[in-house]
Amino acid sequence: MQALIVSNILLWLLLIATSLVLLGLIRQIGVLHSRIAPAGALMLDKGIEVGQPAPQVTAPDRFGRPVNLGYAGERSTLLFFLSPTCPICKTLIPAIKAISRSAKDVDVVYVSDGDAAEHDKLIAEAGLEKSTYVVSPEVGMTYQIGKLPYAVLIDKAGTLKAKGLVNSREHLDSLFETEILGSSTLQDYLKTQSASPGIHTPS
Amino acid sequence: MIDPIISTAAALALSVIFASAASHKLRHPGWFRRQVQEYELVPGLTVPIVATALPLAELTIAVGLLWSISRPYAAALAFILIAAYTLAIAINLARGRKDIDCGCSGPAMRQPLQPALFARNLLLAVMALCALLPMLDRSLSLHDSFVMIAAGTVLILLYTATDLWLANRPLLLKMSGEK
Repeated sequence: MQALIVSNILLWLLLIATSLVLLGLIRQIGVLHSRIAPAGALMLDKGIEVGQPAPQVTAPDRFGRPVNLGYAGERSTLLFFLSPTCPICKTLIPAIKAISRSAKDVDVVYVSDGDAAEHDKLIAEAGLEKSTYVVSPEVGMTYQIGKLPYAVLIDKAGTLKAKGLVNSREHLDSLFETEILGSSTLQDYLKTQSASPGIHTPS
Repeated sequence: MIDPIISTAAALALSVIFASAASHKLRHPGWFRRQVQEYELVPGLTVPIVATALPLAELTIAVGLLWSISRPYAAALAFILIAAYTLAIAINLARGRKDIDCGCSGPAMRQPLQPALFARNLLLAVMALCALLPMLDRSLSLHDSFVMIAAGTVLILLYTATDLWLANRPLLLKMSGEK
């Protein structure tokens, strides 16, 4: 009788644990869905071509210190163009912060323009106090940014390596992926892949 | 006649489910008023009254289910409310309005109306019936109380999981391009 009661209690506890795991799994599927949902439409890009030297601009950050963009240096630069009024930009900030933490040789520069008070609010909300935050319409105009959120990756030599509209973490990661694969755009990558026989399996 | 374990476990789970439903409706009154309006079942003037009365009824049910004296009445009310919600969904599905939000789980989790919601509501109705039926009169040990709470917890967890699963389904269908 004792054994049966113990076994019964144990089974109940395990059943609760199983239901918790099930709930957790289903929640994760929901989170995954919300991450992949907004895929941006392809657009014909104007502006500076990938693989060319990036235009050189110097712009003040929000404390008035000059920030050099597009110059050759010791580290690569990721320019993230955002606006306090764009909701998707805000959802991407954690991903950008994760990149600036994990990628050791990449400087992340946030670029925006507009009202200073709104920027201060965004910076306080997202915890960007220690990041380089440039408020200057000039940079966006030089790089011909039409849509937000937009990201531009410049390598150590000052070459524009990758750029694009980034609506999700996957888009952002794809900028770095193009550098690793050595193809400047997805189209180039597909071309080199179809030229080589056999099926490509990502390792 | 039904064993007290089944009745109490069902009542506990229903109570928590109704309390959470009432809480997100009361915390976002504006959202729920729009939700009632979108269902297009009650005349415009009575929308605010219905939108206030429904969460209050849910809260009353949640509290009433906890005591054995009030339980049959609360369970009957719960059964009627579940039937009314199901009817509202059925009417709007019959009108072909698959695009409106179900309003089932708060503003944070949108899900369109879909026939699978009937299955979910059937589960709720069965739970209400279990709490409604007269209980078998027998003495309860400590172990019985443990089983009641454990079964109630499992019911709540499974219900929440089912709800999320149903909300995820249309997202997956949209991704694979099916309708």
